[in-house]
Amino acid sequence: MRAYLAGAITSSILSVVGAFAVHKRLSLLGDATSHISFAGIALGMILGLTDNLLAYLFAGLAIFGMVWFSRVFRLPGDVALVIFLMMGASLASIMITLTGLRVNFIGLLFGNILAVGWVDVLIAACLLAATASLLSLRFRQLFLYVLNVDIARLKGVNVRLYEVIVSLLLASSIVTGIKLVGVLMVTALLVLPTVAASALSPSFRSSLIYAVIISSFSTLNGISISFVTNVPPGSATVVTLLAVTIVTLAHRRFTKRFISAGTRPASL
Amino acid sequence: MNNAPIVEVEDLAASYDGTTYVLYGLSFVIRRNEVVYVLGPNGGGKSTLFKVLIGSLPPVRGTVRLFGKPLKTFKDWRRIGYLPQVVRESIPEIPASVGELLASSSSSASDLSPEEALELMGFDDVDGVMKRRLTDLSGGQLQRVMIGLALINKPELLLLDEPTVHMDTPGMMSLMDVMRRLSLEMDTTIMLATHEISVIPTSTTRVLCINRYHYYDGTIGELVNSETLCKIYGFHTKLIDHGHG
Ligand SMILES: Nc1ncnc2c1ncn2[C@@H]1O[C@H](COP(=O)(O)OP(=O)(O)O)[C@@H](O)[C@H]1O
Ligand SMILES: [Mg+2]
Repeated sequence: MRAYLAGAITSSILSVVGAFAVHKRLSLLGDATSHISFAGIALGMILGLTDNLLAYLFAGLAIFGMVWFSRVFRLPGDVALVIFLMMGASLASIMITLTGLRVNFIGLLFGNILAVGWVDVLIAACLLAATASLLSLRFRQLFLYVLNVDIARLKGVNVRLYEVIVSLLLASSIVTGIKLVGVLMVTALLVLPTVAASALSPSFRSSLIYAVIISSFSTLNGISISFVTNVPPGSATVVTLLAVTIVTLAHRRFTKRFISAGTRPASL
Repeated sequence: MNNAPIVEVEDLAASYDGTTYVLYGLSFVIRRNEVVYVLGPNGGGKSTLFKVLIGSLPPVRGTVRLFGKPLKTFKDWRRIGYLPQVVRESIPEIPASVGELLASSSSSASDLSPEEALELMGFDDVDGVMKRRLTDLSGGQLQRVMIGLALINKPELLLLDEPTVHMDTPGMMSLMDVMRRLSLEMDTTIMLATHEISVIPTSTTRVLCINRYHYYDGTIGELVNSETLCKIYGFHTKLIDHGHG
């Protein structure tokens, strides 16, 4: 029960926040962030901390660090991402070795839904509530921010503020997602629902709703499969998500060709 | 008040990396109601000038004033409408509908409605276009929708960066028509950047030619008969009379 609830909430928030990462062309930001917070989790374990405070802190630092890094050193975004990704991975592996491999390494990498506690569910629920209210109150501004920052700023949107808000949501939702599907696959929950939903939706608003539906369905399906078989839930979720994504992409290709061959309004 | 300066640029220098200048020593004044074509070869610095004017690239030297206020303290950005260059690449592949896009900017009673903006940009089947996705529009359609977005708040200053790219001749003519109407009916000041001399409507149109450190400010008629054109384009160019305007 707790697993299903945690799965649905966490995957919903990751898919919504992920839409902003994908459309801002920062798909791999999640990957780098999750590896850095992996190092945070490992450090927390060395220090004997029981909560995930360090993971959240590291994730936040990672996102702002990458933005700062690429600005100061004038690096393309993807190069900064790779540097941080590798920094996280290497630091985490060093620290895990230092703990003498007492850490549940496999659980961190591939997710361990049974380790999700009520506190994690609560944190995820708060994040979801915050994201949902932000979207309903400031949809216009968020939309313009995603579209183009120059245009958004001219239309009175405080671009810097939304950059910070979206980054914070991204960082914290990634940390909650790590427990569910693990460091390696949290990017899938972030990116794939948006890719699939974008292929289906006629508008941005509906794409967010589709993304939530697709990712919740995939997660619940993944958890169910893992109860029946012995497959880890995270992997089963990602496989489901991949299947849905490929089907929707194929569907879009097919129907798009159909429309352009058939009905084109005369005035255009 | 009626010919108040809208854009004042003095001795402007702009640079992306802090070491090489893209613009250097550029000065001009544009007054209310003027329609000025910013002309120059690719890489001449037209888009860079626009980025300075919208406050996204701080000048390294010189002063810029918008509506009489220094760029640094200017806050009233809604008075400026902006069309970025290479529209398709400057917006993400987001599954947004045309209606959703325009509605996101039509927030006060004085703004145009999404439908009005589309009509102004020459769309016939307005309801049909509203439902279409941005990713499904042709280059010219997307261009017109984005110009609609730029002018939906009835800006006093309109900056259009290469608006005629992807447009056919009728599309271009109707755009020029819209520009004329905006400047006549709403007192809009317009700066339009283009690398194509052929889109400039009449020989008395004011052009601001920009090629790095070479500038010309005057009518297109005088420019064509001067030596400056060769310098700005780096080779001899002949004005082809397309007969419009
Ligand atoms: N983002 C950027 N970073 C670095 N250099 C740039 C950037 N944008 C343009 N430039 C350089 O500035 C010069 C002027 O470019 P631009 O203003 O786009 O010219 P135009 O719009 O007239 O074609 C070019 O040499 C171009 O390479
Ligand atoms: Mg340009």
